[in-house]
Amino acid sequence: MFRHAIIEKNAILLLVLTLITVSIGGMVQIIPLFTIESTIERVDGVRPYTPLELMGRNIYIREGCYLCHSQQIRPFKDEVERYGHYSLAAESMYDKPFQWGSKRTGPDLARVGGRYSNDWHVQHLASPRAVVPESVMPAYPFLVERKLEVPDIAAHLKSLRTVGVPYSDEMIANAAADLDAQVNPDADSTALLKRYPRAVVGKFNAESSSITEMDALVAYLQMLGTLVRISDIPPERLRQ
Amino acid sequence: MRASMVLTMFWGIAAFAVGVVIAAQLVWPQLSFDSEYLTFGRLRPLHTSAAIFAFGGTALIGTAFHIVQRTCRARLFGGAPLGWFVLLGYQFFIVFAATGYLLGITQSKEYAEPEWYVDLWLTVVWVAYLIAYLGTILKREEPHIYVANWFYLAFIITIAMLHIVNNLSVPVSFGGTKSYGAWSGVQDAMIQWWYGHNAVGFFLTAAFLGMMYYFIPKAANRPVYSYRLSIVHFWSLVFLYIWAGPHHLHYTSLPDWAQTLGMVFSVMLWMPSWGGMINGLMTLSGAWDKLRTDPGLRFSVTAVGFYGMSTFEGPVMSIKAVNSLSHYTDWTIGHVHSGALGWVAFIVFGTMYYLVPVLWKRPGMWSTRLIGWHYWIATLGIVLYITAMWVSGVMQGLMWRAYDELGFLQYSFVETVAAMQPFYFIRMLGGILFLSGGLIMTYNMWRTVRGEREALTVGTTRPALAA
Amino acid sequence: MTMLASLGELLSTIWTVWAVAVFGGIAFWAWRPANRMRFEDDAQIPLNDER
Repeated sequence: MFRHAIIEKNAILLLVLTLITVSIGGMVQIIPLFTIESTIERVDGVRPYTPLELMGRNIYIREGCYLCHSQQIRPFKDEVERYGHYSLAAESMYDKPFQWGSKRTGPDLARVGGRYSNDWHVQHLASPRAVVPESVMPAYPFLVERKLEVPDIAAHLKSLRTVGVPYSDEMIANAAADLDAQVNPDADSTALLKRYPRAVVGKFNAESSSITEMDALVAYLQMLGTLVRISDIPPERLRQ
Repeated sequence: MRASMVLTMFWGIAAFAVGVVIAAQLVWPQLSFDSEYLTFGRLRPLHTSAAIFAFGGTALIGTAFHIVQRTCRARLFGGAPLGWFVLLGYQFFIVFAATGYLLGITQSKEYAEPEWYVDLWLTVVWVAYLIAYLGTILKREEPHIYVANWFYLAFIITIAMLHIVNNLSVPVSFGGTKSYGAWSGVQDAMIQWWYGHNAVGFFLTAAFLGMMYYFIPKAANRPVYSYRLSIVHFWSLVFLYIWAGPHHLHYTSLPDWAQTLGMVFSVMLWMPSWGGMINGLMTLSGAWDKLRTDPGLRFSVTAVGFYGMSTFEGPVMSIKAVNSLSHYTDWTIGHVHSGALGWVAFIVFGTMYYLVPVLWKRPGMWSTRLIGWHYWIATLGIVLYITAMWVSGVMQGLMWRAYDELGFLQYSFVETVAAMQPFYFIRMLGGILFLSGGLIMTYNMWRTVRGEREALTVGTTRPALAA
Repeated sequence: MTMLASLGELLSTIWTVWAVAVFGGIAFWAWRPANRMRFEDDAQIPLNDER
């Protein structure tokens, strides 16, 4: 006969049984997400971030934007009308960490790319209420002038490759040049666009002649949701 | 551990104060003063970490060591040095994490924001915590392990598991703060909310239930209503809670089967939660008069009431149809605060009003009257907070999905933001009240520690303490 | 990994059955009359700790 008294008197056994009990749920929910192939839809267009977008994304993370803006459109009529096609798992497959968010104090940003001009973003980030009077967003004027400091951009791509993002040797070797090419109007961006299709090239922040944090952040915002052309995908490919 | 009481109080005030500041920023966004260090995005993790990990965590470490030594009738394993290492090491973790947030050093995983070097340090401290706690249980004089210790033990090991898995990452360089996580996209989302929901389940629930199972019987001077129920409560809670994470990801790119599992288990979780609530409340059956004379106990009992309310609201919100309205809105924020303020903070206050006089060997708190004031001010604060968030949350959810007669979306996003303003103001008032209550408590504690006794309260000393 | 996945699948299809069984087992055990005295003693632990 099983005696619970044994557990109560044996702390190690209590600990082990508790550990087993709390492990079951997590294993059943997490492991299949790695093994079931349809978890991530097979769609074309998703690629790793360009060096500039990646730096912009890191600024987005640093400033805690995810605390007020989601990047996850749910499949409801009103959300699809307001923000665009519902989000696919594939679209965030290289996101470390994911930025789906949990609160919309501000609007969803999953498909904000290309919706507003670069100048609009710069003005809005520097002084939100000058553009949208009712906004409660903090102002980020310090991003406008501050130079983007990246001592070793290749190191970022390398550590991302270590954790599974498919950056090629070529991408890593050209990381610094690609960063420059995306924001410098005089540079030749052909190679960049070949490595990172559909990258948006241009001087994002017209307020400063150097490469600023604002350039990187706007470059990131302008690519959000633009990689996958959902209208080109047959519906059965979207099924999970 | 007297130091843990003082530190808990300090972090509590800090957490409530930062909460009031960011609540005010949503009313008057100019309050970030265009400064990089004062934006909502950087202060919000400071607020949540100060509340959960600094205030809650310090209280848990202090009470864990207090309870385990008394219910095992054994001195702390590793003695004072190990005890101090855990307590102070944990304080360093908080300071490392908090300074990082202000400087923008964050992993951007909610409630797991600290970067890799802070995570590593916490792992060291946590292992020491487990060694001290388990070691004490192993060398106990009492043959049985009291149920409060089960809850604390489950809390310590589950948090260790969650912390390690969720924070696996590779630093960009060992001299720098930035790292990239092992998980990405949909798997990362699932692992994060498996972590996040069980930070609620094991940090903010199981551990504080351990506190309840010791201090309510202690303050009421009678055994827990049903020890059998507490056993069933324990096993069903630890088993069911861990499944509930996906309810944070309803209607997202997470596959449907995982969402459904999350919903079903969240609804089932309602049963053990209410079992625990009944057990806590019924402990007082036959001793309800103590609530009149002991306002400290009133805090603990109200806490159990709020626990019951939040654990009813939670399963309701995890139903997909409800969640489609409530998700992304302030309703969630209100729900979290009915748990954080009503359950966690109140059970800590109740515990401290009992424990401070015991630890400093005083006959009671300096002023019983001020405990009463604290109780009513804090309760009013919570009521203002959660009602404001219910209204604004439901309203915002409805406005987002409203269509006009021509079939167009009726409101632009920014119109819904503007509509929230009055409720954000009421929420801030609730926060100010709650903070004021905390300051009253600090003052009362200070006078108690100094060994004074308010003249007015003579004759109303707490009977529980005489026992 | 495939074995784990199929195990996970099996467990999730019949989870109601085994969850109820485990829960019933714990509840039965907790309310077994034979355990009554012991639990009453255990419940006294926090009140006896000043001895």
